[in-house]
Amino acid sequence: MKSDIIITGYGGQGVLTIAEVIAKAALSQGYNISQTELHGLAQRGGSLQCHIRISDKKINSELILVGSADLIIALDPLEALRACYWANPNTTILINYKTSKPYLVEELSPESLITKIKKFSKKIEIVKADDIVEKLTGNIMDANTYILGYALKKNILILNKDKIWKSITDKIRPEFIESNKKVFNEALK
Amino acid sequence: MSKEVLSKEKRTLLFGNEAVVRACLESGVGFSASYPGTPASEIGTVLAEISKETGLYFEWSTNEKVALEAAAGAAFSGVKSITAMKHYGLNVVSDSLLPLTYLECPLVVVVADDPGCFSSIETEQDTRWYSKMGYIPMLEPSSPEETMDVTKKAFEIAWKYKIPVIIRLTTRVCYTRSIINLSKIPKINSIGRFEKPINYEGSCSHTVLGHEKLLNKIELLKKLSEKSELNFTESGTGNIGIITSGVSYRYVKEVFDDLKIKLPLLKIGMSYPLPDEKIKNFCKKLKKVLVIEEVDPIIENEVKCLTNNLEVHGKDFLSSVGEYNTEIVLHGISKILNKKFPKDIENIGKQYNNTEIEPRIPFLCAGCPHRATFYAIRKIIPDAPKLGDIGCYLLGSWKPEKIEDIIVSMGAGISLAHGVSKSTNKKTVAFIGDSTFFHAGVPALLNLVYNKSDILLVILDNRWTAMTGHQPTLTTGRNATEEAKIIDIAEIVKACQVDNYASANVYNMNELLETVKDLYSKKGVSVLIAKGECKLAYLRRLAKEKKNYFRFEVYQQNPDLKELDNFKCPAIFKENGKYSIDANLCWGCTVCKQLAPSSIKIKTQ
Repeated sequence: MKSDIIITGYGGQGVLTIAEVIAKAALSQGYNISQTELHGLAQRGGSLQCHIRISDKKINSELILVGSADLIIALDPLEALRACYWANPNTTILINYKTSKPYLVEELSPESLITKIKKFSKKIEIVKADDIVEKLTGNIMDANTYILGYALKKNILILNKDKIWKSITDKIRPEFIESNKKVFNEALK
Repeated sequence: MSKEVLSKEKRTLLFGNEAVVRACLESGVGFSASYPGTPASEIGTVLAEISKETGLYFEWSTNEKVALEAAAGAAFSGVKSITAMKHYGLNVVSDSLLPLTYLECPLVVVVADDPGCFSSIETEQDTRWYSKMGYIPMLEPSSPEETMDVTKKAFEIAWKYKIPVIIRLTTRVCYTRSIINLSKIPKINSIGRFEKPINYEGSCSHTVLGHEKLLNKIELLKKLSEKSELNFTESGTGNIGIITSGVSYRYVKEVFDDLKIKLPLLKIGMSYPLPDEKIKNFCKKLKKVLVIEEVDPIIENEVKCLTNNLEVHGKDFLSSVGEYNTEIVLHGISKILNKKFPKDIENIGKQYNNTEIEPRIPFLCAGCPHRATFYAIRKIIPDAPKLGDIGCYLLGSWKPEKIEDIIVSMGAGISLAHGVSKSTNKKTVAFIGDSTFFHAGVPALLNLVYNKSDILLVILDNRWTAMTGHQPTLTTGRNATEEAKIIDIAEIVKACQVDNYASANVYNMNELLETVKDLYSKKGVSVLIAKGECKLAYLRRLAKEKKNYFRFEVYQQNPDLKELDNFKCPAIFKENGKYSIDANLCWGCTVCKQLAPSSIKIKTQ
C-alpha cells in the first residue's frame, strides 16, 4: 500500500481539516503517514496545498515528487490546475466544481480550467459538492464531508469508510454531526 | 491540538511544533515564554493550551526579547526553560542572547527559519550564522521525530555545559505531521532557587574572561559533536559523497530510493560546533562531495576549509534561495553523478511551466476592520507617504489595497514615517497593529513626541494577534492562560504626551472619516486608535455561543454602489456593471450599507 495524496484549495476552504481527517484515519489503520501543510498567509484566501503520504513502508520525504501523486483532491478548479505539477497521466484528480466567483482572480470558467487539467491526466472525477450539499442541508460547510464520502465510494481514496467517519466526528463540533452524517451517507450511495 | 500532545498512547501523530512541546513535557521543563511568529507560532499556542493542566508555566510575552529574558531568569533560578520564535525574532533577541552565553545561561531557544518565505515578509535569513557570531550550539532536526529527540538533547547540553542552545527548525519540519514515539511525562518542576551566575568586580574584565571561557567551552562541545549520534554517516558505494543537514536529508534519502543508488552520506544534526574530524574522515576516501543544505552555504564553506584535494560542490549546483524539495535535490545529485535528470519528470515540469495559471494571493477577510480603516485613510489622505508594519494589515501593501508603501520590521513603520516627514516637510502616515505597537511601537512613538514630528499614527486595535492564529494580546482581556487587564492604548498614547489623539469605531464610517480628517489637519504628532475587533475572532465567538449575524444584499442598482469600488470587499462582486454580495462571504460589517445606503439592505432569509 502506498498512496501519495495532494489536497488543495484556498485558505478558508478546509484543506487542512480534510488532510487531518485522512491522516488520522490512516494512522488508525496502522499505516505510516507523513502530512505536510502550510500555514500563515494562506488563511486569508491564498492558494494552499497539503501533501499526505500513506504507506506500509518507511516514508522518506514529506513532499511528493513532481508528477508523482496518486490522487489530487481539489476543492476548487483553479487550485486543481495548480496542483497538476504533481500529476501524471495515472493520477486521479477529484475536482469540486466550484462555480462561486473568486476574488481578485480573473474569471476562468470551470470548463476551461478542466480542459487544461485534462492535458495532465484523463482520470478526472468531477463532483458538484457545493450544489448537492446546499440542497441537502443548506450548509455548504458540509461539502468537504461529501467530497470525502464521494472519494471513498469511487474507490480513489483507499481507506476504511468507518475510520474516515470516526475521524470526521472527532474533528467537528457535536451539533454538526447529524448534518454531516446525512451528507456522508448520501455521497456513499 | 493539545489532545495529541498530552497523549498517553505509545505513539501519536504530531507536527514538528507539537513535538517540541511534547519533548519539553518529557524533559521536565517548568518555564516557557514566546511571542507569536509563524512558522513557530503553534509552539506557544500549544504550550498555552497545556499549561494549566501540566503545571508548565507559559506566557505570551510582549516581544521575543522579553520572552527570552524571562526564560533566562527562570533558567538562572534552576528551572528548565525554553523560548520559541521565528527566524527574524532572533534579530530582536540577539542583544540579550549573546551576553547570556557569556553568563552561562542554560537555556533552550527554538528558532524556526522559513526557507521560501511562506509566511515571512522581512528576510529569508539563515539562523545558523548566529551560532558562529555568538558561540551558540546549534541543533538541526530534519523531521518531527528528530525534533522530539533533538529537543531533549538540547536540554541535556544546555544544562551540562551551562550554555544557551538553539534548535533550528524550518517551515517544513514545523508543519509536517508524522508518527512520534512517546515516553512518560515526569512531574514538572516550575519552582527553583535563584543563583547569581557571576560576581561583578567593578570593571568589564570579566567580559574578556567570559569570552575566553566560552571559547574553551566550544572546544569541549566540539568533542561532543564528534561523538554525537546527531552527526552520523551512512555507508554507500563510490567516491562521490553527500553531506546534508535539516530536512534536505529526507529528500536525499528519497532520491537515493528513486534512483536506486546509495552514496556515502554524512548527516549533520549538530551544525555548531561542527565535528571537524568526522567530516575529514568522511571525506578522506572521496573525490567529490555535494553539500546539500537549505539557504546559506554554511557547512559547505567549512568543508572547503577542512579538506584538500577534494572537489566540494554545494551552492554552485543548488540554490541559496527558497525551500528545497525532492526534485531540486534530484537535480543536484544527478549533476554531481553526471546523470541525466529523469525524462518523464522533466517533461511534466516543462508542461506545467508552459501552462498559464493565475496566482491566488491572500487578502483581508470580508468584514475585516483594517479594510474600513484603509478606506477612510485613502479617502481623506490620498497622497501622503504611508508606512506599514507587521501583521494582517501588511496585506495593505498588496493588491487590491496598495495603501502601504514599505514594510520593514516590527515597529519600523513609525520611525520610517518620522524620517520621511522630517525629510519632506509633509505629514506622513504610519500604520501599526495593537500587538506590534506593544512589541516595538512605544519607544518609536515617544521619539516622535520628543523630536517634534509631524505624523498621523494609526493604531489598528483589533484586540488579537490575528495573523499568526489569534493569540491574545494586551487589549484582549486575557493572557496566555487566564483573564488579564485590558491595557488601554488611549491611556498609553496620552501618557506619551502626543499632540492630538482620538479613538474611532471603524464600523461607523462617518465617525471614522471625521476623526481622520480632524487628526490629519492638526500639526504635530496625531494618533488615531482605530477600534474594531478582528471579524474572524468575533465570529468564532458568535458560533460558540450559537448566535447568528446579519448579512447584507444589494436590492437596487443605484449609483451610490459605485463607491464600493473604493471599498474593495471580497464579498462584493461586480458583473456587467451590476453589483451583488456573496452571502456565504458577507459577515455583516455594515460598511457597504453605510457607503451605498439606497442600494443595500439586510438580507432577508
